[in-house]
Amino acid sequence: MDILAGVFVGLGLFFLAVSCFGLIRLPDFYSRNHAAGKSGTLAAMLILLGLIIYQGFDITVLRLFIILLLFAVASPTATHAVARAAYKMGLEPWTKKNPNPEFDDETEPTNDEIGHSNEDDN
Amino acid sequence: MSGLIIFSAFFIMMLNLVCLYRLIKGPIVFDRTLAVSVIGNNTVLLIVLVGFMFERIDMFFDIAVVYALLNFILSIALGKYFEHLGKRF
Repeated sequence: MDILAGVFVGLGLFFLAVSCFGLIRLPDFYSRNHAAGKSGTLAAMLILLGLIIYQGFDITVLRLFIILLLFAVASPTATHAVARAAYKMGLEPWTKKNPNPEFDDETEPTNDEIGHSNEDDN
Repeated sequence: MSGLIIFSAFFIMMLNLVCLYRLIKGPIVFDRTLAVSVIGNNTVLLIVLVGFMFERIDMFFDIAVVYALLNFILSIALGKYFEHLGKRF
């Protein structure tokens, strides 16, 4: 049982590392959101499942199960809300044609793109 | 197994330090919001692991539930706020 719990926690730590390095390395807000949302949720649920197996199935496990269900509902909803706000504000996604859509400070800035607040109210 | 729990807590702390890079250097505000959300999720796991470490599972699990709810409400509120702002930044 301890070995199974260790395998689950180790897999969770691996996916957590994937999530955090995806948050660092990916080029765009939407792809970072993808990494943080999916992989982070899977990692949290795997770690909590490993801790449930480690603890054994008594009454305190119910609270861990509540946290697991909360993660399964709340974390994708939160990342979806942030991504929806970014899409409603008109943030352009990253493409190879337009590899740097959010900083336009060194090239000529246009008013209708997001991410530079040098002319209007801030 | 206790060694695995201590190692997991240390590893999650290191990953929080890695995520702090995106929080400081995020080009737009949504990157910072996302980094705060990820750090909050990692912190909930860290609180659960600390509860296993100190053998006080009842107390630390309540703290973890409250922290997860606060983290969720933070992301939802920031998303609604920036959606309300519209195209102005």
